[in-house]
Amino acid sequence: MSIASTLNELRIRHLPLRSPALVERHASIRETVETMKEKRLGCALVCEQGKLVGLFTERDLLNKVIGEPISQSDSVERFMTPNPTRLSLDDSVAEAMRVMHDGDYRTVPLVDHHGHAAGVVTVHDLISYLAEHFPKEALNLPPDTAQLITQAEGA
Amino acid sequence: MICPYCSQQNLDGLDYCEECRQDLSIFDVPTPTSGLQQHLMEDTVSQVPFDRLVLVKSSDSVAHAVSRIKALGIGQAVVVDKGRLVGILTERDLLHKLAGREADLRLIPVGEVMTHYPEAVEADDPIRVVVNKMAVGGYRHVPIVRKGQPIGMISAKAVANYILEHSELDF
Repeated sequence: MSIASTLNELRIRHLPLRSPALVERHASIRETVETMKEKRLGCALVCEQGKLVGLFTERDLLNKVIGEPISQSDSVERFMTPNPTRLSLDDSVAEAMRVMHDGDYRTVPLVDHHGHAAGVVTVHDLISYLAEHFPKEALNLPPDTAQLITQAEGA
Repeated sequence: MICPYCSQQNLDGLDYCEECRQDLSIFDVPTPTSGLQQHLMEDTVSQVPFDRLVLVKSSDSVAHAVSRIKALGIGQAVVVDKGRLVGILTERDLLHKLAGREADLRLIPVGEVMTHYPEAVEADDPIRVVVNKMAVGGYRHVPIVRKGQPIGMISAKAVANYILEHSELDF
């Protein structure tokens, strides 16, 4: 089966997605950041009674919070992207790629058929999937002896 | 694999035949079977659009680095001391090491918060090298260097977009 038909048939729910960071819309920035740190995720889904109402990402943190004269107890609602583009768990992986490509997104929230926040799909999930799909090309590389120290961003 | 010199049955992936010690690695190079595989193996990092670079020193303040990052509308800075890459400062570093702290960013040096000695690629490395580093190491930004000096930054988003634009998917 070609990569194109695989990606068209594979549903997002079948990717190894991590459980999302969820916060209520009146949660403080401090609480939101703590939730993201605990989950080691770069975004939080902002919900109201389970329904997705916003997305707060590391980019929002950089542009609107870090170094700005705001209070850590301010509500995340002030800084989130309201009503973000979303995908369903049953959309295809190819559709996720199209949405990220067209919208220039790194992270897209996922909802179930009731509109409840159900997860996120990130560009890293897609790169990992492609690398696994092409194991010989992408994963079986000789060791790079010039590199001695490895540390993930933020570690 | 079966050694073509002495017919010994070896485990897949061995570089040398266990029986006759002949070099087997030359037979283990994957052959592309589709257009996308060929792009992964043969296209180079320099063919993917680079992000613009913000260069700072490890002794600069985080406030200085953040204001320059924001001015360019990107998400990371490359940290260079004496012309050599020594770190990167990303949104993820700011989230995990600064967010929630009541601290004066003018007093915190970049070197305290940055990711030290990040994985880097050369501009003429094949794209599969950067896909490997991103998939295995979990990196979303990888600096591009030439003789130890940073010349660009490649993001997971740029790699994904490049792969998709060269895949059989109809975009």
